[in-house]
Amino acid sequence: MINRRDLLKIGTTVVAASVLGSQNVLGAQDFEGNPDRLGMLTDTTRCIGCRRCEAACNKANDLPTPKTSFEDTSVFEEKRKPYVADVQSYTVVNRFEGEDAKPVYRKVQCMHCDEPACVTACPVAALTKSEEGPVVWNEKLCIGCRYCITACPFYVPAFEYSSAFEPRIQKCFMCNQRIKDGLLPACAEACPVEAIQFGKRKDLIKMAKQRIWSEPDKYIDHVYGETEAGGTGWLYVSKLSFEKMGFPGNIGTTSFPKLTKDFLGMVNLTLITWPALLGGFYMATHKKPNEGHDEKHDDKEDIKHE
Amino acid sequence: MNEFGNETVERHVYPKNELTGAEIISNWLREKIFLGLSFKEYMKTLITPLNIGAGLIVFAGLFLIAMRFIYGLEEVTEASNEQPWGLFLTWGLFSGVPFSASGFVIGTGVYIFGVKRYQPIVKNAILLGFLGYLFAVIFLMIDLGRPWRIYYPMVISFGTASVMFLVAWHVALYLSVQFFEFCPSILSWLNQGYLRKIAVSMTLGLTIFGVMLSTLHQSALSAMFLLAPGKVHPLWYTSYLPWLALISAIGAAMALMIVVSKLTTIYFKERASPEYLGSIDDVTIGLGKASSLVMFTYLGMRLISITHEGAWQYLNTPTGHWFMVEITILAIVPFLYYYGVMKKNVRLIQVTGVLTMIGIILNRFNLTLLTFNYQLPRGELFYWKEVLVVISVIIIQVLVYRWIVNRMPVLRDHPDYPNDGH
Amino acid sequence: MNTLLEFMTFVKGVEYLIVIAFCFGFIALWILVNSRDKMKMSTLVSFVIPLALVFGGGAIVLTSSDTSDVVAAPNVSEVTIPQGNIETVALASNNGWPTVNKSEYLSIKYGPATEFHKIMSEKVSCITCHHNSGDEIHACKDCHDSPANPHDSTQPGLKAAYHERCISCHPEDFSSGPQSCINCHTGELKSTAVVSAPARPHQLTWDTCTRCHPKGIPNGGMESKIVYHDSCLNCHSKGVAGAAIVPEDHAGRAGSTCQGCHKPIGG
Repeated sequence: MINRRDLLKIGTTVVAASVLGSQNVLGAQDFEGNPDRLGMLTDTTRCIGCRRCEAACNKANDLPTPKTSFEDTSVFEEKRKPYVADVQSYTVVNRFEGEDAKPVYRKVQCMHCDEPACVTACPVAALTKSEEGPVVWNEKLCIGCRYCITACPFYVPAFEYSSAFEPRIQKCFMCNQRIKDGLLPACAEACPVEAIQFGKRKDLIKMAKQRIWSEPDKYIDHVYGETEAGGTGWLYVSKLSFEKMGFPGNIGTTSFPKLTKDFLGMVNLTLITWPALLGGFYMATHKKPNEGHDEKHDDKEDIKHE
Repeated sequence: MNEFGNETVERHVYPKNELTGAEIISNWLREKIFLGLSFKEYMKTLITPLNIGAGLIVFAGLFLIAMRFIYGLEEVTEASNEQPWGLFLTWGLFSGVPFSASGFVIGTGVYIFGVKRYQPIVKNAILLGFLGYLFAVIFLMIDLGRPWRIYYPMVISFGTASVMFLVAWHVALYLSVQFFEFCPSILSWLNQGYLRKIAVSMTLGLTIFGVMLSTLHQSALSAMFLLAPGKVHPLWYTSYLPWLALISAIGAAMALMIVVSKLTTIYFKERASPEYLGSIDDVTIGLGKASSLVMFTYLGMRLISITHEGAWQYLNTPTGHWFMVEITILAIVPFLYYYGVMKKNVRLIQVTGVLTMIGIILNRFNLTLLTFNYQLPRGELFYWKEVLVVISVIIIQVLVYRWIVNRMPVLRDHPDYPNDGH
Repeated sequence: MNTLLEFMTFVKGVEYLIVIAFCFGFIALWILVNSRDKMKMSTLVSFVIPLALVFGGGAIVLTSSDTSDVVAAPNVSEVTIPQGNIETVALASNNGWPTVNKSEYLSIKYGPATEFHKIMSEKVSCITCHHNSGDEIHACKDCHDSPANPHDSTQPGLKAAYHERCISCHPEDFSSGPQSCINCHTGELKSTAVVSAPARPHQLTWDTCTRCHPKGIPNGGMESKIVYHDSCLNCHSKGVAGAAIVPEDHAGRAGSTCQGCHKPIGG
C-alpha cells in the first residue's frame, strides 16, 4: 500500500522541481533582434501617389492583371486593402486629406514586425521571421487556420477564401527572393521619387531621424515602427498624423509574443503538478483492502466517500 | 424424401455452431445495429416526422459542406480578413468545447475524488464529452483552409510559441483519452469482456491524463485571444482570460449534465435503468450545489478581472449594455441554483441549468464573434448558409448520440457487467 | 537567439519534451510504487522507462546543441545590396524570377532632348538642372547611381534625381497621382511652372556633430534649429580638427555648392 511518506516524497520533489524550474532567469532579458536585419522606410511627404509600387509588386510576384489599371485615379476614392477584391498586388496606396487640402498618400503593406504576432500565432510555423528580416510564408506547411489573421494588429494577412484546395495567405514578403538574388524589392526599385527606401533597419532609423531633425517643419517628430508592436521592419515618417492615415490607434509598444508568454509558462508547470496532486489525492483516499490484490486501479473495492 | 420416407420441408434451421458467415453477420447486425428487428422493420421505425425533418436539414447541410469543399469557404461564410473566424469555430470549437468538459469534470469527481453520488451519470458525461470534442474537430475540419493537413502540428512542423499549437495537440490527445474512457461501454456492447477489463483498468490513468489536458486546453481556447488586445473589447479582454475560461468550462459542464440528464429521463426513458432514472433528482441537486459555487466563483473572477483592466468606464456604451445582459444572466445563476438547492426544487435547478448554458454560450460568442473587432464598422456576422450548416451538424450530433444511447449501456448497466461503475 | 520569439519557440519545444519525459517517468514511478506483481511491473517499466529516457535525452540534446543550429539561417552579410543599373541588374537575376524591367512598368517616352533643352533653356539657366558641378555640365548619371545605393544615402538614385529635380519647380505636375505621370511619360511637357524652391535651411553634413563636439553640442543642439557651420570651407579649406581638405578635382566649384552633393542623409 502506498503510504503518506511516499506520497510526500513524490509530491514535494515534483513541486520543488517545477517551482525552481520556473525561475526563468532569461525571461526578463530584452532581445535586440538580428542587428543586420533589413527594413524599408516610407516617406509619405515624398509620395506622389503614382502607384508604380503597386504595378511593380504585381509584376514581380506574377499576379494577374487587375481590372482597374494602375493609372486609374478613381481607386483613391475608397480606402483599399492589399490583395482584397480587385487589388492584385501585396500593397496599395491610399489617399488621405492632408493639411491645406493637399492629398497625402500612404502605402499599405505588411509591417514585417520584429516580433511578429502572426509568427507567434502560427501553430505550424508556416510564417517565420527570416534572418534577413522579412516575414515569410511557407505554402508547404500552412493548414489554413487563420489564427495569423486574428492576431495581426495591422490586419495584413489576406486569405483566399475563394479557393477550396489551395487557399493561400497572401501578403507582402519584402521580395525576399529578390533580396537573396541581390536585387532591390520591387516597390523600392520602382518608386520614382524614392519615397520607399530599402536598407538595414538600424540605418533607416538613423536616416529617418536625421530627416526629421533637418526639416522639423516637414515631419511629425515620430518614426512610426520604431517601437510600435515591439518594433516593425517597415518604418514611416510623415507630416500627417499616423492615425489619420489609417494606422490602427491601439497598437502600443508591447511585442506580441509577450502577451501569451505567461500563459504558456503556466502550461508546463500545470502539466507536471497535476499528476502529482491528483494521483496523490487518489492514493491518499483509496485504501487497499489486502495485499494479495493486484491493486493498481481496482474500482471494485470499498472506495472512501468524500 | 428422407430416410424414413417422410417428406422433408426445407427449413433454414442450422445448429448454432454451423452458421454460415453470412448468417453470423446478419445475426450480429440484427442484434447490435437494428435493435433486434429485421432490416425492413427497423427502417420502418425510422420513418417518423421528426426523423424526416431532421434528415432534410442534414441533407441540406451536407450539400452546403460539399459546396464548401468545391468552391471554397467563400461559398458558405462571410469570412473576411478582418473577421476570419465565423460561426463554425465560434459554435463548434469555442462554445462546444467548454460543454464537453463534462467528461473530465464528472469523471474526476467519480474516479479520482470517489464521489459515488454521480456514478449514474458518469458514462453519459463521458459520452457527451467525447461527442463534443469529436464534433469540434469536425467543425474544425470544415473551417480549416486545408483540413487534410490537420495533423501537421502533430508531426510535421512545430510552432511551439503558439497557443493554437497547444490546442491542437491537446484536442487530439484528449479525443483519444475520451474515446478510451468510453471504451468500456462500447466493449460491453460488443461483448468483449477481456478487452473491457483492460479498458477499465486504464480508467484512473486516463482520467488523470484527461484532467491535465483539459485544464490546459480549456484555458488555452480563450488564451488564444490574448494575442489580439486591440480587437477584443476591453470588457472581455483581460489577462485572466484563461482562468475565466477554465472556471466557466467547469460550470458549463455541470449545467450540461443537469439539462441533458433531465432530457434523457424524458426521451430515453426506455433505455435507462430504474436506478438511473431514480437517481437523477439527487444528482441534479448535488450538481446544483456545486454549480452554485462554481458560477459564483466565476462571477467574482469576472468582476475582479474587469476592475483589474480598468474597463468599467466602457459600461455606458452600446457594447457595455450588451455586456450587462450577459453579466446579468451569469450573475443571477449562482443564486438561482442556491435557491433551488435550498428548496430542493429540481425543476428550478434544471431551468437555471438552461440559463447557465445560454449565458456561457453568449459569453463565448461575445468574445470571439460579436464584440470582436469592436473598433471596426459592423459587418455581416451570420450568413444563413453558415447557420444551416451549424444546425445540420448539431442534428447529426444528436442523431449520433441517440444511436449510441439506443444500443450501448450508457444510461444503464450492461447485464453482463453490473455494478462495476463503468 | 536574437528575438524573443526565437527564444520562446526553442524554449517551449524543450519544455514540452521534458514534460513528456516526466509523464513517462511518473507512470514508471507509480507502477513501481504500486505494483506487487514483479512480472507485470518489470515488463511495464522496461517499456515506459526507455520512452522517458528518449524524450528526456531529446530535450538535453536540444538544449546543449549550438542554438544557432536550431534556427538555420543564411549569413546576412552575404546579402548584397545591388550596384549597377537596371539593365545589368535585370541580367543578373536568375531562377526565372521575374525582374522588373524598365520598359515594362515605366513607359518612358521622353521628347527629343534638343526640344526639351530648347524649351528649358528659355526658362532657366543650365546650372539649375546641371547642378553642383561648377562650370562643367555633366549628365545626371555621372553622379547619381541607378538603382539607388542604399548604403550611400547622401544623394538620391538616378530616377529619383530626375523626378526631384523636376518636382522642385513643377510640383503641381506631380501632385495628382498616377494621372500626372502621363504629363511626361506619354504626353507633352507642360510649359507652365509654379516656382517654389524647396526650403532646406538646416542641413547636416553626413557625419554627426560628435566629430567635433565629442562631448555633445551645447544646449542639446539636435532639438534646436541651428544653422551650423554652413560655410564648409571654414574647416575644409584648412583641415581644421582633422577635416578633409577639399580635393583638387573640386576646382571651380563655389563654396556654396558643397551642400548640393554633400546632402543630409536621405535629404
